Amino acid sequence: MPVSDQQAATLRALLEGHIDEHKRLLASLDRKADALGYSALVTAAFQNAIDLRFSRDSTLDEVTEFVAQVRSHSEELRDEVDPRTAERVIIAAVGGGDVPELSSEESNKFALILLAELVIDSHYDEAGMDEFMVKARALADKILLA
Amino acid sequence: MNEVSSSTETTTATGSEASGARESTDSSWRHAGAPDGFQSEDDALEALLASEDRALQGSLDKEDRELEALLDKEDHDLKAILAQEDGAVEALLASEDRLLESSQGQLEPSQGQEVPGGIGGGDFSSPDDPSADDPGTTANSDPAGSGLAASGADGAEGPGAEPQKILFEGKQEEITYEDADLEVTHDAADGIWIEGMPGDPPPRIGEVLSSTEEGEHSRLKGLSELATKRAADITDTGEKLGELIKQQFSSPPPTHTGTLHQVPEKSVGGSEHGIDIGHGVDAVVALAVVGAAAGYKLRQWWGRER
Repeated sequence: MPVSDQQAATLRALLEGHIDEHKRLLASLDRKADALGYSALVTAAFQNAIDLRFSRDSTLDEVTEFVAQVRSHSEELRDEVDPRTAERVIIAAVGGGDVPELSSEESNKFALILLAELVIDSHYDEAGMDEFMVKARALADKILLA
Repeated sequence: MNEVSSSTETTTATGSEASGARESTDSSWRHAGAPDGFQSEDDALEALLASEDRALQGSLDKEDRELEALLDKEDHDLKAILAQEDGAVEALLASEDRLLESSQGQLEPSQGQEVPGGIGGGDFSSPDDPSADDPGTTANSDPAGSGLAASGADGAEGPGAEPQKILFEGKQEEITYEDADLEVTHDAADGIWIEGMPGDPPPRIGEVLSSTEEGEHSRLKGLSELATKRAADITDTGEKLGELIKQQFSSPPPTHTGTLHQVPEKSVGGSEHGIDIGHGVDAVVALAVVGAAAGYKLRQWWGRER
């Protein structure tokens, strides 16, 4: 089952900073039926955003600086985002993998926070955001078929 | 006789600061002897002067002793202050060393040694990768990420060497270091690194990833497993993270990460050579304190000698 428009709209609202809209759309999702599709979309968007920003040739300093940037937004983010774990999540994602010992909740937390930062940092306009979401949906559909 | 005696007593009565001592001396020579008294006025005066000398000498000795005690106390205080400052400087240097070691430890796991949790030391597994525990190899990094990188320094010297002169000539991309021409890549990813200097090129993500690049199918399979794992909590976590992500949007960082692309005719800081500006300031402050203390001691010693 491919990614639905509602799932895509939910993630897009989050990535555009429309948090109230995101909450509303998220609440309207079916927690069981939509979970895998939405998770695949988040995973695909995160993977694409990582691939756009980092590569195997990126230095570890770039990763460190990026994580520092995430944590610099607020005291709460500093408390919530463990820098070493965040760096490991990014590096693992560059290799197409995950940090195995992270729980699903932790894995989601880092993916969503880092994804939001990657999108903020890309300064997408409307068209750029459209393109980003189209590519994320395409990859998510492939993930769901794999 | 009586004249002499009365004369002496008059002197005593009108006397000087040492009158107490003199009176006692007067009475001693009057009572203890000289039934015939002094032979002359000169003798009496001489005795008086001698007694005054003794009294003065006693007073001077007392002042000397007090002065010496005061100087000893000041010496002691100064030593205590110097010891305290030495201790503080040593503690500061030690803490900076520890900080440096810990940061190097995070970025430079030695061969075969795993650094838990840090970059280069974690478990960056990827699907279909049986050797996921290999921490990989890393090398020195450029924390400044200035984008100034060079190679080919023949005349470069050891740690602590500062670049004498750095020149940018348009697109020529050359710097002069220790009379050697170096190539500048201006690639932030290269960091600051000069061949022949301590350290190696900045470590890259590919170096700490144990897995090689994989095919599309296995990549999709891995992402599918990851999506399945995340599906369990995706909606709950999304709800919880709303406020945090709102903060990311409401307080964006100033600009992109500060990458220095070109600094015309300016020398770069020395931290990449093992010297930090902060250490230099610490050293200057410590030297100033020690110098001031030494000057103070010298002045004291000179005053005492005089």
